[in-house]
Amino acid sequence: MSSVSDGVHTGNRAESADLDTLARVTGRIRESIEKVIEGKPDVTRASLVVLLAEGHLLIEDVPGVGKTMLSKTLARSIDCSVRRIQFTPDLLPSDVTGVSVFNQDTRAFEFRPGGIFANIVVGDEINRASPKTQSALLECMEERQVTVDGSTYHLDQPFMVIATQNPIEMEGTYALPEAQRDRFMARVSMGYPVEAAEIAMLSSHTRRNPLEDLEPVTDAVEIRKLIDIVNDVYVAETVQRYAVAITTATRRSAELVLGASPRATLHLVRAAKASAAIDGRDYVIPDDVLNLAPQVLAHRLLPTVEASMSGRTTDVALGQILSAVPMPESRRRG
Amino acid sequence: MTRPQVDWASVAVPSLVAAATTWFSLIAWAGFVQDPGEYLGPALTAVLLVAVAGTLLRSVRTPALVVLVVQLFLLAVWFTHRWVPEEAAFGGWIPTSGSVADAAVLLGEGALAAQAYQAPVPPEGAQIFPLLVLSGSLVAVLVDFLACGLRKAPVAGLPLLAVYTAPVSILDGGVPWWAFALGALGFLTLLLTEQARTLAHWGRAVSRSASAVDAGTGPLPGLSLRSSARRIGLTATSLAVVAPLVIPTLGDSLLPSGGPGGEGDGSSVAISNPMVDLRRDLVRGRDVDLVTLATPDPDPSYLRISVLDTFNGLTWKPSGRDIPAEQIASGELPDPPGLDAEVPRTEVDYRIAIEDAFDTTWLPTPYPVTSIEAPGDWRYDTDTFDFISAVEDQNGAGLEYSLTAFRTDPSAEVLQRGGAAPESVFTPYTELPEDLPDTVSDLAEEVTDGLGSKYEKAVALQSWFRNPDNFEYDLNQGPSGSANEDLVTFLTPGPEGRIGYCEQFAASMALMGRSLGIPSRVAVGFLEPDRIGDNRYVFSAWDLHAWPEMYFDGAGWVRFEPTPGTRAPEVPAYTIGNIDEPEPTEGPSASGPTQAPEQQDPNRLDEGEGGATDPTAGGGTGGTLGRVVLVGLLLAGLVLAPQLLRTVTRRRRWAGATTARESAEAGWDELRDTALDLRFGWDDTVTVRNQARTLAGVFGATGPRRPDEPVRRRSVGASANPEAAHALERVVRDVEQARYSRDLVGRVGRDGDEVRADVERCTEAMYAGALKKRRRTARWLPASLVRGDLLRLRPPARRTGHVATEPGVDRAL
Repeated sequence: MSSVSDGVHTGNRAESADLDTLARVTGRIRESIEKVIEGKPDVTRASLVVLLAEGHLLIEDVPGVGKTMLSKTLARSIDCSVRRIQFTPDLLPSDVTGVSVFNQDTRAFEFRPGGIFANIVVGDEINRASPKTQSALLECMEERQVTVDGSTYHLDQPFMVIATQNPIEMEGTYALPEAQRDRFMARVSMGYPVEAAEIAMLSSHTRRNPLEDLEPVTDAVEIRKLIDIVNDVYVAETVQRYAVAITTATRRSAELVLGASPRATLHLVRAAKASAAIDGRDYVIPDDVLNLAPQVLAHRLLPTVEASMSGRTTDVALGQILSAVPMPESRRRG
Repeated sequence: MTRPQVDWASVAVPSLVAAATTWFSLIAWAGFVQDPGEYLGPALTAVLLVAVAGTLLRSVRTPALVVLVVQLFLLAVWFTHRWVPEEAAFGGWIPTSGSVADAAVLLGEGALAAQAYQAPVPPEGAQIFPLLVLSGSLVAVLVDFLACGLRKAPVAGLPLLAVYTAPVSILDGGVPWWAFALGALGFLTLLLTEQARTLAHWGRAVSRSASAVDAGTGPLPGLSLRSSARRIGLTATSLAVVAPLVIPTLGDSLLPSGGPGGEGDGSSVAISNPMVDLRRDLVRGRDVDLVTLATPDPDPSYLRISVLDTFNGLTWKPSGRDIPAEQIASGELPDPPGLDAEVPRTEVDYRIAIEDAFDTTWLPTPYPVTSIEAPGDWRYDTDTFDFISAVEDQNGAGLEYSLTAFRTDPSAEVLQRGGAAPESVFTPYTELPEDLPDTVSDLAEEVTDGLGSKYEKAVALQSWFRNPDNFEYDLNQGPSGSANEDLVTFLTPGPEGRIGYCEQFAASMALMGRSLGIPSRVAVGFLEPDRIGDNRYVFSAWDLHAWPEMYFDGAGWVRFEPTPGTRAPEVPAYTIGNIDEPEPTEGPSASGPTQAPEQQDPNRLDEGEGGATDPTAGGGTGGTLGRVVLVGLLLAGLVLAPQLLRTVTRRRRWAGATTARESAEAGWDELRDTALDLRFGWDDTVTVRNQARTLAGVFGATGPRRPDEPVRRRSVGASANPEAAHALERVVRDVEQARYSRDLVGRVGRDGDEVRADVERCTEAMYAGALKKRRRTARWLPASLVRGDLLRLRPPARRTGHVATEPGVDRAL
């Protein structure tokens, strides 16, 4: 958006005040994150979008680029309960969900909540846990509740899992099955910082951990309000059709063996709504969908053997699809 | 739809359209014959035969050439059955060698009838119908072959055009506009059918940029292309039809032709039978220069083409001339017959050039010629002193020759005392057809009653014809010929009578002269030229004229001018001599030379009054200037039309936008059109923002050049013109809001004028960022005009709830 910036929309709807609030709060969170994670506005924005769209975020990259730092910073910026689970091969499902223990005093089983019981759960190196543990986590993510020994425990709102993982070719990892990756709304890669950002990092991070100075800039209650605002964002029929056209195209692509699921479409539109709200709009434009599509869709797609053998990644295939799917005829008449 | 595997519509529709188009075109031939139904009926059968055969054969994928052969065979069978005597053909249907010979004879007779009769051919010339039908059928086969067999509908326009050229070049009034419109409509439909079919194979929609094409993956929707096809087809064809309607035309000829002396494009004039061709050339829709003349003669009027010396009851025509080879038009000529040496004569040199447009087998010359040098084999007749081509295919068009002639000025006395004509002149030139109506001789007697000499009688006749109380000059209302009955109509007083043009005046006076025993004939030529320079004159088609010549011994053949002063203002000097000019209405008056000016007066007055109705009025240099101005205006109109259309589009676009939403869309359309005009490309399939980003990339600075700026090249891009970039941002937001925001009543967008101001800022920046050449092209030939939006050809975007089942299909839904 070099020439076309997202200025604050000056519509005269009652929601414009809400949108202003949203913009202000997200701006604060962003500033807060950028104090710690320098030079990664895209990733920061993606995490905010996922937070407001009630999704879960998967951060994937090589070790040491700040995955955990980002999730911790986001969690710290919001005054809410935060848990961090370090996934290891010996982590048990009950460590995640919680376990019922027998209390000698009361002579009854009582539930000890696991790491999942928080507003923001940072799941570090999720692909190092056994598939059994992984699936326990993913179930909670989808259902937003935990069932242990016949009792169901609802999770707090907002609830967001920020999982990090090393790329699967690293040793000692259990790759997340495709079906489970589908539950993450978006996947982002941190990427290496640009040179200037890395130098800035050296000066800020070597004296003391900036995370420790971080004060929460908002709280769970406010975030819930923001989520409500996002839910009110309008999606025109043409934009819906555009989103559907994109996911449909992934299912028909010759390069992909697995396309995007209907859940992916849903995630895409929800993320687009959050993105629009962050930009101060109460309506989604096709650009929102288009720009989020790589982050929302890429991790759900599976390239064909031929495509992966010849080095064509899902990102390339998706890029082609996105440039080929035309805008719907969007002119309104009358 | 009995056989679902065959797409009947796609096979049958073009064939039927082709057939209908051909038949509509054939209506243009209606002017050839008096009863057009006689050929249009069979022609309809023929074109239907061709269409049905074509449809059936093509539906089973028969090769085009085979279809052609079968159609021709079927036509031959039908033609044989319809026209050739039954016994000649096998079983009455199958052509045999005998029937082919019969058909050839039949067609030969048709060709003869076409030559023998003047259009419209009367029922007696019915032999022409098989010829017309066969020609029409062959055109139908050709059109069907080109348009449906080879799928080259545009080429099929050529045979159709050929159908039209025949009547346009032969018939007086050309083709009625509706006949042409019908054919044109058919042809357009044909083109449209063809284009829709062809375009579906093109690939991308019109506005897709190259990069998008490269990036494209899956198969592309054919449906969306249909709308492009419609758009292009309808735009192009509509423009083709509408444009000629808006452009001013010259006269009523249908096919506009080139300037004077055009290259055989309908603006040429052919003179083979001078009298017959005369009226046609006089009433033709536009004037054509035919002969240019360089001479010191101050009054080079009355340039003769031919002399008509026999009258057969139907028309005056040149008698058969047997001209020996020594009478070639090269060198000295003998003295003209009957001219005494004592009559004063002035020799004048002429240099004459016949324009290419003038197809003549006669050489226009003054009378009498004393010496001539003309290239080619041209011979003269010693009686008439006209020059005729001695070789079959020799044509005067483009010929240049020089000659010397003399102007004689016989005095009235010479004519008055002229002796009796020699037998060799008297007998042939006083011959009258037996069936000549008595009206002619009775009137001649009546008008010249009581006059003594033949000269006085001749002058009396001339005065009688020229008297505005007696006759009225009108090119259109009188009879169209000079046959017996035409002349009776012309000479008899009545609602239709006493009106005519030079042909009737000249023919009548010559016949009346003959009935009075004065040797007479009719000369055809040019009346009065337009002066185009020092000693340079031009005669045009509207100057064509006919006048009588009468023989007086001693003076030879002298011309008279019975045509009224509205057309021919001057009468020969010797006819206003010092003798009585008895006027039947006025009675005898005192004789004397002083009488002459008064006698002349009515004619002089007519000149002034008649100027307005004279077909040659406005001719001369004024006429040429007018033509130049008209052509100039036409060219200017053509050149300016695209940008005018573009401006109109822009105005209408803004005027039509009343709501904020419409303003935003209008602004976006305007930006798109400007981008297309400047050949920046436009991609409707990317998002508004992405398109805007591309657009901002070509923005140039609009302000004056800063002193520190490098002279060579100004940078382009959003940074080059931040003001326009911000304006574009605002427009983009408007468009997005218009398209994607909640459709709420309370939401009010920006004012239309604000949007317009922003859009104009952007278009200025786009122009500033474009190369000079592109800017020029954009102004003079805006490419955006060829899109269909101008004509609102896109169907209203009433979409069904259908969801895309294929990538990209929604564009076409």
